[in-house]
Amino acid sequence: MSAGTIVVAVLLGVGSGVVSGMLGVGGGILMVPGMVLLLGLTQHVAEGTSLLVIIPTAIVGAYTLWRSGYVLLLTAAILGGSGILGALAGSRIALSVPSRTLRILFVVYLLIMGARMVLPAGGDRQKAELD
Amino acid sequence: MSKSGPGVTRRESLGPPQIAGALALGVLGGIFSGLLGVGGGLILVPGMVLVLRTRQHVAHATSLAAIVPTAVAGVVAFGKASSADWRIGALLAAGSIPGARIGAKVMQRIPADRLRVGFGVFVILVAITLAVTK
Repeated sequence: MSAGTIVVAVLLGVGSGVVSGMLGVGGGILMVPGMVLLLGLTQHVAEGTSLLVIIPTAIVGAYTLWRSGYVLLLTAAILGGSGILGALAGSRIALSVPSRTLRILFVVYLLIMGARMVLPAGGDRQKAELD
Repeated sequence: MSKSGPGVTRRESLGPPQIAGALALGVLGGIFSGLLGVGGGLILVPGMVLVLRTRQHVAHATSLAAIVPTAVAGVVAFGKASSADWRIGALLAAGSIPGARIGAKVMQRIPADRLRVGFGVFVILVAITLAVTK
């Protein structure tokens, strides 16, 4: 692994970490395209690696917020338990399609998420929920 | 957002409709997570707010806890297919964990609405770049 790769990977981590901390979004939305575009990984490896990074990041975040009393444990257990089943199905689909197809799916996901953040309707609704 | 929380967790009341809603939401979030290599919080958080009537901050915190087992299942599946780079992952995590702490601190001083729109535009540009790059 070259020094350049190491520097880019750490900076990408910092960038996606800062954004996820600021906006409450997962780092994957930045990490996956970053790994594909800046580090030259295939869409599959980028996605698998992103999930790997999400584990410690989410543990740290969830632990901090749990101590502040924000985590609904029972709801999290139900969501996480059914999430395992969903993730096994989702990754099975991901691993059965070519990297190019998977990348196009990711592009669609980015466009939807980007549009949702830009469109005023979504912003107003979210502001209303913040009390 | 850190100091005023205690007590929130004690108000968790789940009836059959909420449990059914949470199960469906978890599966949907999991499919997104495994398919796209993301946490799935962008599905879980609005889903909890809309379906379970959870407050935004609580939904965010709860989704982070739910993402842990979901991401583990995804990593196992991708790892079996050798589709995860452990060294790159370690470097990214070394940056993202302190990065997230910085972001959470900065968040309290920046108007979230404008930030969200700015990031939305950036995400759309990334999508276009990703679509046209070989």
